[in-house]
Amino acid sequence: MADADTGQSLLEIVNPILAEERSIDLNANDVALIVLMRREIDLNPDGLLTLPYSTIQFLNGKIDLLDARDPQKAERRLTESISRLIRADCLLQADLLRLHAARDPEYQLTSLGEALAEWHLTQSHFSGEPLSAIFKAFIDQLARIVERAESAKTQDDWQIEIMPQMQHALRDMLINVQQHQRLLDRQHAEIRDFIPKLLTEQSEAAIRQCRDRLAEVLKTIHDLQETVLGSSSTITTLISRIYELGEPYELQRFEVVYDDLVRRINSINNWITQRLTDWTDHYGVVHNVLRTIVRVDRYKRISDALKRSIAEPPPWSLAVADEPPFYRMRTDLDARRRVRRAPRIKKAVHDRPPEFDEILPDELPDLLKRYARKDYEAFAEVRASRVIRKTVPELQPEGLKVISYVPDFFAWLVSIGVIDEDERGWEDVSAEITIEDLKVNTDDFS
Amino acid sequence: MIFLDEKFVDADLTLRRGGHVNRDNFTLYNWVQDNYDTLSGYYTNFGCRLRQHPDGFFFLVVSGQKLKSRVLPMSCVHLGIFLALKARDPEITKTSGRIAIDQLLQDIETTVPAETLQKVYAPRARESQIGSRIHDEIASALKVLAELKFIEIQNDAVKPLESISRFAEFARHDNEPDETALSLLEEQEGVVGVEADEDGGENPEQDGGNHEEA
Repeated sequence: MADADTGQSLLEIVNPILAEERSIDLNANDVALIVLMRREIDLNPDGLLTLPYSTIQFLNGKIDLLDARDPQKAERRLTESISRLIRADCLLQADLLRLHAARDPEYQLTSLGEALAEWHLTQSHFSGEPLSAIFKAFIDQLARIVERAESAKTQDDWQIEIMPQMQHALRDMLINVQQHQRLLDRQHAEIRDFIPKLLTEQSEAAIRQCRDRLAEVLKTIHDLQETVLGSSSTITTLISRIYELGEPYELQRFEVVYDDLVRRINSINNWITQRLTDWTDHYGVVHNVLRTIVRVDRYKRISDALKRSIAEPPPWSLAVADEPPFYRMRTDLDARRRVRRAPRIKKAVHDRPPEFDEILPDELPDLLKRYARKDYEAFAEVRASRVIRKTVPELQPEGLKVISYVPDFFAWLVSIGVIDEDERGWEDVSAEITIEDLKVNTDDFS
Repeated sequence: MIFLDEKFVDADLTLRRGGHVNRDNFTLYNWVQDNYDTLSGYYTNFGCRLRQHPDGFFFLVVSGQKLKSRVLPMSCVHLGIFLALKARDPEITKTSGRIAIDQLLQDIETTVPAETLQKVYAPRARESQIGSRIHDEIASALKVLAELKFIEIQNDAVKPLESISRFAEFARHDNEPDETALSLLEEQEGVVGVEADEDGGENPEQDGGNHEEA
């Protein structure tokens, strides 16, 4: 299992991390401290890369002030924070060799510490800017991919270079956008919870604060919409261009990557539009409460009266207009839907078709038995060939019908008498039928 | 000629059927506001008055005999008052002005005395059926309020519109308006007094109007 890009095996990558027990174990104070340190370095006009311990102490004091912690243990907390940051490879002591300045050592942020502070600084901005920056970076990447796609000559150029770049760019953008979305939603949820508290206070300052917060939210949402809708059209154009260029090469999974890109962009746009609607609604409701309730009913006189009035059935009502709807004209009806029934005509009884067909009972078995009895009376024995020969003309034109009853007739003969085994020759009973004869001696014709 | 405009049909049907034109229907609201004078004159010929409430919405007050009117049942008025109260609660901003119907039922049950609930929503119900009758009556009252554009029903939630403040008119006078205020309410807001029957039913007071019980 080797990494295709670096040639390192996963074992080689993971083993040292586990063996050295590398971890980033920081608490919120540590992160706040490193963010303030980074900010302090950025703001420093001399362009220094290190900070003395005294400055870090001062910054930590600010954090303690905000967090309302016990000032007695500030020094201990700072020492612990610095130790954790050093263990996490976010901070290092920059002046190990300067023994003479050991009382005010200097510290420097590592690249990991800088990246961590940078990420938190970016995330803490509550405006449309980070999202616009994310989109701008994505557009730049797409533009570069388009340039490369225009110069691509072979299928391999696409498979090895362009498609992985597309996926990479999309993944980076999505991670950033999702982080931003989460933060924005959290910020908005906090505002949603905070505004009722301000409205309940009803002081002029609280109302002003409430209006400011609302204006800030609406501005942010509008910024977001402009940013995303503006950028998304550029992104769609670039993606379509990539698709046009890649289509002739009939690349494997190209459609999937393209569809994924389009789907994600649409989903981000939908998210922004949905949030815009939610927050416009929220803005409207808060504005309405401010305008018609807080301003007009500062001392809740009307609300209290309403509370009292719901305890009893109301002694009044409202009269509202109640004009009936227009009558529907016949032309409004769909003529095709009317089913015209045929007039009923009384029919004579004999015109009616019979309710069932009359099937006459089959007389052939009885006929055979009757001829058998006559045969016995004439010859004192029954011969099957004689009986059937007499029966066939009776059945004309369906003389052959007798065949279907021969087995039953033979079975009946056997059941009533004794078969003469010497008289079993073949006999013609009609032009078409020859049977093996059967002679029976009996007088039991029950 | 505004009467050939499609928006006239929408506005006219809404108003004649006792509905309200609220700000949330932005296009229609603007159209009515722009043509208020013409529409006002038009409805005067029907013996009605097109009113714009101080909160912004429009509605029709019927005073003559040419158009029919109806008096809202007690359940609708009580529920309207309750919703007007809920709409004034700052907590409603958390849900962008929506109240879940289940939550509404629960709030009514916990806030309003049981005896009042029975008198208003199930005056003639048997003891065993009171709960279900109250539930049904509230559902039916919500439907009427939605038809009259006092509220909007969205899935399982109710959104009170600005016209819900008509149910706060009595409360503006501390629930006891004097004669002058009462006549002003009758004339401008369409308020009518009702006297409860002995069996809990309601009976609009005779004021010479062309009212029908809903």
